[in-house]
Amino acid sequence: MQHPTPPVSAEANSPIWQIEYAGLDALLLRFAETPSHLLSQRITAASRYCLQHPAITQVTPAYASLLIEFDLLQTQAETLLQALRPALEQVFQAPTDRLTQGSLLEIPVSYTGEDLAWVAQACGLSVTDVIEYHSQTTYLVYALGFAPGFAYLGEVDARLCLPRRRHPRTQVPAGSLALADRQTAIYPQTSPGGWHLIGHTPVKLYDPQRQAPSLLQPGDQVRFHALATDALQQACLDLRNRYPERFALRSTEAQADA
Amino acid sequence: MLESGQFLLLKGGILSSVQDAGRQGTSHLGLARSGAMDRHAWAWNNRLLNNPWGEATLEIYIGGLEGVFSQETSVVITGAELPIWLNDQPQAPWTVFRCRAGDRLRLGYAHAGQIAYLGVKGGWQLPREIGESRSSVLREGLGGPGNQGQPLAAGEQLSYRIDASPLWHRTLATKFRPQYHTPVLDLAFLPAQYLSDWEVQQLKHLFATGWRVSSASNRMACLLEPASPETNRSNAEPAPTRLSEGLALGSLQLPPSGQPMILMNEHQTIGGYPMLGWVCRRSLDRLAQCRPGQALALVLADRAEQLKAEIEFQAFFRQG
Repeated sequence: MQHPTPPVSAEANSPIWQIEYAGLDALLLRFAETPSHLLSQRITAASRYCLQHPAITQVTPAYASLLIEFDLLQTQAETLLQALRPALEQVFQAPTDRLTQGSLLEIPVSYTGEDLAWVAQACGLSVTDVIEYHSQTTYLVYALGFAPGFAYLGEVDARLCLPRRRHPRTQVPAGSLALADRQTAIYPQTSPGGWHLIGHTPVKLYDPQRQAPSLLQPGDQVRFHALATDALQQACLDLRNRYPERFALRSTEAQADA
Repeated sequence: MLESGQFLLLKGGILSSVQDAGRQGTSHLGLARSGAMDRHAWAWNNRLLNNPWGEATLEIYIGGLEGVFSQETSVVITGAELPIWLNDQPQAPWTVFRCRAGDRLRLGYAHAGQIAYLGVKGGWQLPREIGESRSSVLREGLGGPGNQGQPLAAGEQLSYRIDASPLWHRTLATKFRPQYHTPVLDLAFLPAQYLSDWEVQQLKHLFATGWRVSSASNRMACLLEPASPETNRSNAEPAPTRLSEGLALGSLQLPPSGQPMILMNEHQTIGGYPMLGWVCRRSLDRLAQCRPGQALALVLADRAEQLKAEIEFQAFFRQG
């Protein structure tokens, strides 16, 4: 089949990325590197830069890609790419220590998930080992998606790497801490899910009444603090006090204003 | 501050919500763009009332909405063909008419198309929420009156500015009104640039097959099913997995079921199913009006031609 869509331009691709049109008003940048902490930091920096551009309407960072959507009345794909190129190249060549580190949030969890014993057995570890390996890693938010507030966290210790369940659950309770492959996440709402459940947190990952409904943002760092179930509520209050802006509710004044 | 009137809903209808041009700058937070599904009927609605691009209208699936106006204003109903009554007097679609204090508006059920837009002079007065938008998203619990994202229901009140200025009998010429009865709707499709051999095979099958709209379609995605059941390929060899990537509006994904889905306004922001290409925006506007069972064909689009049409559409409504 002859390909009807012309490539963006002969010069568009570089050793750093491959670019293609994503429909009429979007560009998809795929990065050559494999997903890593560092790549994700660079993608987060690039997406922050892009959001400042007046013609860009949406950016969607993911593991090794960045989707950029723009306003067709303000710019065209080729012009936009020309404008973004120098800054993006700089971000991808910047030394590691020049990249901004996101906030570090410590989320209290009780490692009491339904699948915890099974996970330990499947990995050939003790339950204590699973908890230790999972809670000693500092994770990075690689992407948000799947459901509102669902943050993909990586990278899980290689000793805990398991494929997802063959038969997904139709109902995973909200607040479930789960893992699959080299990723871990908390289910923000009760939803279907195919990951292994290892724990639970009362922290609300998504709350439409907050100014920022999603607690986590791309580039944030996360650690899990293993606690007994009866210590969780106090730890939640501590987290709230440490990051009041993350938990701030929408004011009713702002609503009346409009 | 102008005085405002209230539209008291007596019936919410099958599925009604508040929709505008959608959100900006929310996708990296995992929040949907939302917005009016059929921009053609939505944009004409605002234009007929002399409202600027971006004003909120009510998006009404199938119909059944009913309500009472507390103060004088002008309204217009565009989109799906359905009966309209004002105090039992039939009203014309795509035509501005006057509502006075105490007037009762009642919508019947669509016989062609599936989404009607109800606009009011000056737009529905709701606060702009996340992404500078008034659009609601059910699954996120955001937007609409009360900002809970719930479908509009009886008892709710929607504010509007009182407008007693002389009525402008504005109607849209028939030639600009879409013809919703179409034996087969062609969708302008742009294939992705970098496809695996497996994906190219799937793409060939996609073009060679007659499709129709599945009844499982909604504001998230339009699901396609083969027009003749024997062409179902759900048992084909499984797709190679790929890293999840950001998804643009109109993306055509192929999940393991073999049933393609075209992502609509409330689509998820990232996903890892094989992604074969994009349905162009003007085709999405028309697709939004298709009911389950509507026959569809994917047609290779000319990128330059589609770009020109889209820019013309936006320039006409946003700058006109």
